[in-house]
Amino acid sequence: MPSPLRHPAALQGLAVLIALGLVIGPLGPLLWAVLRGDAITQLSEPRVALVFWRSVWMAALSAGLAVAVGLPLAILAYRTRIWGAELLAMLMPLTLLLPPLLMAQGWNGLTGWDGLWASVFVLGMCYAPLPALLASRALRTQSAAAHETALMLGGRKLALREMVRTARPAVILGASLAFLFAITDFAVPDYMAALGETFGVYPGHVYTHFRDDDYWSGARAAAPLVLLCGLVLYLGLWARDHWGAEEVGSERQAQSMDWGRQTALTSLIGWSLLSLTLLAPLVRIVYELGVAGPEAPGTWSTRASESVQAALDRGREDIGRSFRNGAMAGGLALLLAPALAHLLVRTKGWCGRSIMTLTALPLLAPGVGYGMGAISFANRPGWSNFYQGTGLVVLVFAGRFLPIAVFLLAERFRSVPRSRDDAAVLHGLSYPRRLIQVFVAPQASAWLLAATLVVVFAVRELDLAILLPGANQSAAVRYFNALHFARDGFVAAFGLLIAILLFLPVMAYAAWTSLCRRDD
Amino acid sequence: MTNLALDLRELHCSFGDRQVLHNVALQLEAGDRVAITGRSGHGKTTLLRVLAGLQDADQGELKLHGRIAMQGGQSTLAAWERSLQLVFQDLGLWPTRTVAQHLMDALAAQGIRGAKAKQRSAETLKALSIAELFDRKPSRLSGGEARRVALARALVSRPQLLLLDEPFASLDAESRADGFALLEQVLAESNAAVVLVTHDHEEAKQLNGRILQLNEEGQLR
Repeated sequence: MPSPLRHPAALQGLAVLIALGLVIGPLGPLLWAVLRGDAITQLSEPRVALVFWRSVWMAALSAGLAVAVGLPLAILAYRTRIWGAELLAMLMPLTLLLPPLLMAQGWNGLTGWDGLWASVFVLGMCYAPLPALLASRALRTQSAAAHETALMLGGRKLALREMVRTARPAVILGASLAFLFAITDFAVPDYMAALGETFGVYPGHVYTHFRDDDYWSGARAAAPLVLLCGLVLYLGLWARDHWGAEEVGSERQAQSMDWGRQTALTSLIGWSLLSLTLLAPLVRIVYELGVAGPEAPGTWSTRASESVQAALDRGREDIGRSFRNGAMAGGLALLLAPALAHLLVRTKGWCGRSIMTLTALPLLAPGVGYGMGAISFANRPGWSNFYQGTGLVVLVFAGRFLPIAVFLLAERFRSVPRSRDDAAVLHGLSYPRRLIQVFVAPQASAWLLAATLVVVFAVRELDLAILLPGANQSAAVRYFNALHFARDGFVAAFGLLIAILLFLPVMAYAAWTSLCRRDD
Repeated sequence: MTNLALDLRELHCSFGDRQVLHNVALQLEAGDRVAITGRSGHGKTTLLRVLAGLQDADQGELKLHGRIAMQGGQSTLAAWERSLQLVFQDLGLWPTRTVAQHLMDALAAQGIRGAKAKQRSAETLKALSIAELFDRKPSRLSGGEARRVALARALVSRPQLLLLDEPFASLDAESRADGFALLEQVLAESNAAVVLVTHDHEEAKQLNGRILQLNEEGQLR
């Protein structure tokens, strides 16, 4: 009798059920509020509508800024010969790993900017790597024939235009994602408003309602944001599918374009863009390690060393706890993501886009909404150990960041030739074996990267860490509290320590894959 | 009445508004060979995928050795239960598996494991003159070697129907002749029916069987 394990339905069904539990458990009331039409009724109140539309245009501006910086950065780093292009490409995504609050701290320290416009700028810089990364993947698929023809017909100008055309669908999706992350961010606008001109954003409105201890009130308040985020992501995916064209011609990959005598200028532009998104705020935070008034004792380096020591002494345990919780969430994602990613890859058209949007919901919903949903689900008599313990934290972090792992793997699985999977079906391989042999094993590094990203995002998550009792004693909460109470060397050192620890696994991965490529 | 190796009737298949296969019928007895020619995009690969059970159709009935495999265009017999194999145009080799593991995976699905599977794999590789590739992974194979491995994987489970999707399309004339000589040699030892699809009439002739054409309307003539 044929084994039921040969059919994908059983394993995919199980993975979908667990993933749905992680979505519906915390987000059920929130989704119900959307379906009931609360998104519309909420916005009928002029004050609420004002805050909502302010958030919309702020996030739209941030997304525009992210594209304006991200697209040229991707072209320069991945498809042109500039000085240090490989290093530029390796450093570019790191901004996404940093807590946005750290970027806000760095930029505020550098420029003194605060208020609404500073918030727009910082969020734009924080999320510029999203369009850049998606554009870089698209640019790598451009065929050599198409690129070389453009070069011969119209020189660098036409070649650049063709690169932009190739990257356009991916950039639109990247802009949509930048918009989503910007509009649901609460920490940066809250910090910038505390420093300067006061202004409110919609996630703040949602947070206030959730603080009223009435989950339904919070769910109703979050409804417009969830609906808008779902729509924007669906449209972004539609744009990618609709405008994205498969490259035809030679299978040869297009080479990097030479800038000739303009190499120095373009290199300067490339590194300046990376300074905007990463280097400048980080350098400022390094400077803040030992900055003090003229009467302060010691030199910059002695004060910096004391700050680092203080950060290590006072923050070690919190950082350890954050990484432990993150690692467990990453482990869960390792198990669930492959089957879900395979399901996504095999489902096409509107159905595929809808599944993708649903999968992304935990990431799209405001963090505070997801956290409050989890609390209202788990805070009940007899569950106190679970409610206050690590179990809930791991499940909530895994649920919120599972979409990152699923989307990354789905993107890689798409590049696997259909015939490999068909051959496995024809030979009757069981579904788990097929999944591992055809998809996971050849993409093992992506599989590990997906789990690493879940760990990293769980460690940098602030909203959930503030809300969940089991996650209160974490690196993100300590940093948030320290920054709001003081602006001293400890804050800078602790922020920098978090940044380095978040960078390390991803940098190690990048170095490893780079070495593997050279060995090949 | 003898059971046909393949009995396909009234197959209709479309993608959206575009009809790719229109009222296609095909009957083969054990040992029969048929080459189907047609231009790119005329549904040759789709026909093979439907026969293999990798894709449903809009309409059509299919029997394989008397067993109903498709009714009303819907597959009723899973791909791995059809006693057939398909050699894909791009081969579909698994990058992390060695040549031997490719063959042993195919045998394991039939319940043949261990020393017996290893022995059968070695025999098949020897028959295809690639015994020395036993432990190699696909990335270490030349184009011609990879084709032989794909053929070996398809043949090791001794299928009753072999489907070939432009198996020698990208080869020069000499290598293609070698490929057909090899195919001839392995088919001589089996009674498998063969369906080969190609856009090249010369390749179709080299199979030494019937030649049919899939025309623009998706009809088989």
